[in-house]
Amino acid sequence: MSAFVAEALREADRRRPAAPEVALSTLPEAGVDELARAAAAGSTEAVARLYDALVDRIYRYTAMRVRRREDAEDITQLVFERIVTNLPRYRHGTRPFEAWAFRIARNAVIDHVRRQRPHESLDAAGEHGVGDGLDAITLRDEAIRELRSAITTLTPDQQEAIALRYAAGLSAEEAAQVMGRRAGTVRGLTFRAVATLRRRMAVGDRSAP
Amino acid sequence: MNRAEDRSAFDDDLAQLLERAAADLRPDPLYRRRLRADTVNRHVALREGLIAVPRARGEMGRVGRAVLYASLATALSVSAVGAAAQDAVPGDLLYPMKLQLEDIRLRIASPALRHDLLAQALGERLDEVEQLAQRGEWQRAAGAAGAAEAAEGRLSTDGTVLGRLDADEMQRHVILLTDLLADAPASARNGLERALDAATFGPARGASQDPASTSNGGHAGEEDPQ
Repeated sequence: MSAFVAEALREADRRRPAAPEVALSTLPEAGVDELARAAAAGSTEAVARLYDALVDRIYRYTAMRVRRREDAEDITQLVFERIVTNLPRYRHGTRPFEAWAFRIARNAVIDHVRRQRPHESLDAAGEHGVGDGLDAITLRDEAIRELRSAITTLTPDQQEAIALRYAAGLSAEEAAQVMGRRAGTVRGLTFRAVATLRRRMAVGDRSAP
Repeated sequence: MNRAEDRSAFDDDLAQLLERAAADLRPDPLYRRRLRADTVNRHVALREGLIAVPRARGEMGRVGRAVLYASLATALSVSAVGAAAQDAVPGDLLYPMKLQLEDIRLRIASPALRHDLLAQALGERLDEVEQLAQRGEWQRAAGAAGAAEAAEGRLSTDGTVLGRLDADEMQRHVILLTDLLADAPASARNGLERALDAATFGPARGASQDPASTSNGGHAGEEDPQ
């Protein structure tokens, strides 16, 4: 633990009585929105539980979008920094916290892709992740490898829809809020993406020796 | 997850494969624990004021800007009218004066302050779009996006690089504009998306200077293929 963090924790302990700690022990089944409210009010426990509730899904989402473990880790870290920093500004009641959090994640991914390859499209950027990058992330079988390769051939919006639906586990309505689209549009994107994947994988099967 | 409605349309085997591929993407346990501690520590440090909370939208951020405003307020001596013009938004009577004052400031400011002024001008234009949208004046908000684009163009032409504070401010604009975009009527969406594009300029430029200071980008260029 760095000296700064140690000092921060000591200082936090000294000020503890003034901090609005929200007791969550009475809310063992608190939902994400409830945790977000408590976290915004200053509850450390709520922040930790919020992290536990979101980290795997945010990591999966970013990993599916950038495909390199190091990038996914960096982006996930950045997303949680932003979530914690902006928690006080989250407007409760306007939209679900998850949609807000994944919007931050989505923006971070887009920012990352632009920064890495400012002159290439998201499509082109995705092509570079195939092979070496994918190998860095656990792959269990060839079908999944093939599937991930096929995903990179989708349009950016289709990739986004697939990542939000399958990696982040969001409903069409939630994904629509993240993407700033209508739920029907997201369903359409997902449907076409799956149809394209099916087609490409079928082609791959036929061309296999 | 509400995917039942889609499941019927998809091949179950492919859907299962997608879920399995996603499930394979797991963070390293050590990384996961370390990030958890970092996140909680950061929360505590922010809560207790041990690290700076980024400025709220619209706040003046730099000493240079404060000095600049003080000196220019004197130099321009337009008193109450000038002050009132600072709050004007596109379509207001005093809005042209606001733009003229900004232009004069830019002309007489030292080169060292030019970057601050250009970045501030972009922030002002985005503020205006957001204010109008929050008031429900969607068409005026969409119309104001052009000025945001122009401000972004000047910043781009100037070749300056945003610092961390500017990048943080742009990040807030991106988040707010994205929120507003979700609520915007179809007729205003294009304008807000243009403003969002302008807001994503800053973070990208800041990133080239200090990757740690980058903020997020928007979804510019990702048109709905439908």
